[in-house]
Amino acid sequence: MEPIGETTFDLVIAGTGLAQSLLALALSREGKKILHVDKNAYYGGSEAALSLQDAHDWADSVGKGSTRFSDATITTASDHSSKLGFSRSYSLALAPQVVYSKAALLPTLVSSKIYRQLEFLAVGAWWTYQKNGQEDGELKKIPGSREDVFADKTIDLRSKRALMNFLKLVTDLEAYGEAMETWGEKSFEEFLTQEYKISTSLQPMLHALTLSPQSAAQTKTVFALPRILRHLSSIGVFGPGFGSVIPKWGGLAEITQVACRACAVGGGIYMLSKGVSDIALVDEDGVSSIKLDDDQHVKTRWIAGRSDDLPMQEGQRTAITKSITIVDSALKRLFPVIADGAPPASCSIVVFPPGSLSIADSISTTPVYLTVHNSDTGECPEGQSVLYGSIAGIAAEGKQWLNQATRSLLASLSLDKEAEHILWTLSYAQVENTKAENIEEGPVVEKSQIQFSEASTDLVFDDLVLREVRKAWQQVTGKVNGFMEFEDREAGEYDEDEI
Amino acid sequence: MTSHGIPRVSNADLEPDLSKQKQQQKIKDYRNLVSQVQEATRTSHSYTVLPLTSKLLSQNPEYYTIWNERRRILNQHFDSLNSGTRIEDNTNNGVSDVPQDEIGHLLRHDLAFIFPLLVKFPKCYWIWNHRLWLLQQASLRLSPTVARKFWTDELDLATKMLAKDSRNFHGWGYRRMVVAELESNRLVEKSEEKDGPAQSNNMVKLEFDYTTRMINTNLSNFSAWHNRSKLIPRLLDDQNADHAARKQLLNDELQLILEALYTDPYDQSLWFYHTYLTTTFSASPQMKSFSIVPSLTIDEQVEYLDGEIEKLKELLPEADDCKWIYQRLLDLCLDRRTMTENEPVDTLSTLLGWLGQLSKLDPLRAGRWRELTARLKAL
Repeated sequence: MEPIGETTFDLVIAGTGLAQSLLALALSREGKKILHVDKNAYYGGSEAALSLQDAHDWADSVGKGSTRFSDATITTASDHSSKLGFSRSYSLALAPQVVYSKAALLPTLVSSKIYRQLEFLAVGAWWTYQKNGQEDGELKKIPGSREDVFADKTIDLRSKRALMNFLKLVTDLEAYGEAMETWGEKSFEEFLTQEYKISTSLQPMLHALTLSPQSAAQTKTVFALPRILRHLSSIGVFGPGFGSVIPKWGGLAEITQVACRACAVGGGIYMLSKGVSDIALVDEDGVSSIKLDDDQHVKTRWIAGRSDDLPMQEGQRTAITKSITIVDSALKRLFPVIADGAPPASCSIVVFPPGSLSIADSISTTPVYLTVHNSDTGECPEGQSVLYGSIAGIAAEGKQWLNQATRSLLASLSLDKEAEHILWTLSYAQVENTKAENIEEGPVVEKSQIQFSEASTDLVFDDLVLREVRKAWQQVTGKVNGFMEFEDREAGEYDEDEI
Repeated sequence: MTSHGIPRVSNADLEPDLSKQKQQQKIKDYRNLVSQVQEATRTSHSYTVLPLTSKLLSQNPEYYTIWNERRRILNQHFDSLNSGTRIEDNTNNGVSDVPQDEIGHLLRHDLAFIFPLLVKFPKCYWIWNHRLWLLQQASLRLSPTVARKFWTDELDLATKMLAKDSRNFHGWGYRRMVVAELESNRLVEKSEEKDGPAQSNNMVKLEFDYTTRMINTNLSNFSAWHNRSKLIPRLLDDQNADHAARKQLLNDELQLILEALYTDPYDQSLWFYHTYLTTTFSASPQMKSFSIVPSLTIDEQVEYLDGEIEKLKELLPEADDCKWIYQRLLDLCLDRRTMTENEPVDTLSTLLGWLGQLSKLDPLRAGRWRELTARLKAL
């Protein structure tokens, strides 16, 4: 193998986040010369999965030079450190996103043949937290089907009719189209109140299904309604009673690993702990000269990455505060049986609507989300759970609400002295370039540079990243069709165990 | 989870497009097989012919004559085992001379043979029929304890088939037969037999709870509601329910169906069940035999009718395009008029109004609504 300085690569990919890894996968059969670097010592970038020790290192590094993450702090009660498992028994996800069953990602994993190296687990019950008085609260299961609505004895008869009428939108395309046209720009709250007469006590349940970072009053119907449609129409696709899945072993990280592996098998060269520090001018042949952060120079026809990995300008930012909390309980009550014939649930989503949490005299004004993963995911030892928290807004306030939500959840599950069950918490802020409305989808392609959108802060996986990768693939290969459509590799072409 | 992102595809057996030539060949092969089987069974019903019938029935389980032949073969073989004279030597491995074991083994073998056929053709009468015959053979020829195991396994199977397709009426009818057998004395050892019906075998409550589970899984399960209606009279009798207890059950069921109707008033199954419940306080004498509470006084009946009419009137604005509500309201109001001289709860104009709605919502039955309207106007 010749030294990399003497090769002219077809593509240098900066960063092993999801978009970049999927591009590497897409190009793995094209016989292109690919150099794939990552300034970190690990794969996955913004979608990585971290062991306990990795998480500490990561939190340290966040202060120095990362532009996507900030304000990372870790709290451990020292007397609980004995309850923590060893570092590698944790695989904490920076991107624990939920993948709906109709996501285009899934058939793509199949057609690209890497699905065999991945395992998916079912997302089970969704809950809203309802406050009872100052300190108490209880969890209410969100109905997803006609039978759920029937079974819920706490919903009064009139409200059942109203809810059912609303759920019918899923099957009535005409009514859906009309609703979007008439109510699109108005708030979701107005839409639910005026068009469907859903009572204020039931609205949080429906809004919860959108996983919107803002309250129903602050969320537009054009944003909320498609997400509800997606949620309801995904139920039952893979089996009764559930509509979404999560990858095992730490969220989207596993997909990045498997995708990079596929590219390596196809001849891609991988170098960790190497970032791109500068991109020099393109010469007449369309070849750029890239400088790596160890001062090596590399020539390439294309370069692709995200703004975190490429020296580029950034625009306006949106901030989300997130947390990863390890709890020493399996929280079994959050994972009831999904349905007869369904797989067990490994993930559960708890929504804290605005106003459901209070700290001293303050009341929460935005929704708080806790995505709970049990040990089926391989992300923590048996008997423990990992809670991924998310709230819109800056870290200082956000962290307090996330902590309050965690404590309220544990209290509602009758865990005494909730604080003692919280073994370890990492909280941080993640920023994303604010999506300008009516701007064409990425990636941004300028001369020979391809810039993907930021890692999304959305709690749900969005096929946007796949669409961006497809466009990038089209640019680099010059092809139009055949994206991610591979045949099985011949036996003997490679030995998987050797990689 | 095994599907790894592959969207679930229908289980229907997709025949690849066969060229005309291949089709002809297939037909020819099939006809040959039929001749073979017919020839073989004409001359003998020995056990060696069994595999031939298996081959044919796997391809065409609807050919019921061959099932008959198969039963003849098995019967003959079982009889020969019981009488001790073995006509065929092939099954004797020198293991056990006890005919019971052998017969049990052969029955299980046949049940295993037809199981995949049942999965492939879940609505073929002859398959269900043959299974039943095999189980009846178990009851006839084997000890009660051994036979009981056959039937309890069968109940598990029925549950699985209904989980797969909860509205397969074959499945439900079959389930009732299996339950009946399990409840009977036939599967109780002579030494355990008590005087009178075997109380410990009573499965009514279990089956009643099963219908509750099935309804909670799918509200539209007509068969589950229907089965429930069949179980209620027995349930009440078993509990020696008095007038008050019977009324309590009726009230609970009326509340249950009301919740279901508010959830989905457009579902026909639910209205059938509602109609079943209201026969308890109906004016018509033919309905008395179905009554959950036979000793209701006229006043009590009118009270129930009023209650239901009120509830349906409240439901109407929530689903004013649902023909079932209008229809039931008409039925109940007319019933009430027949039953009592009391002041009717409705006016003629209201009834005619509902009929008008029905004519719009259910134009296929225009003749019926016209006739009813005429009769009402003549009142």
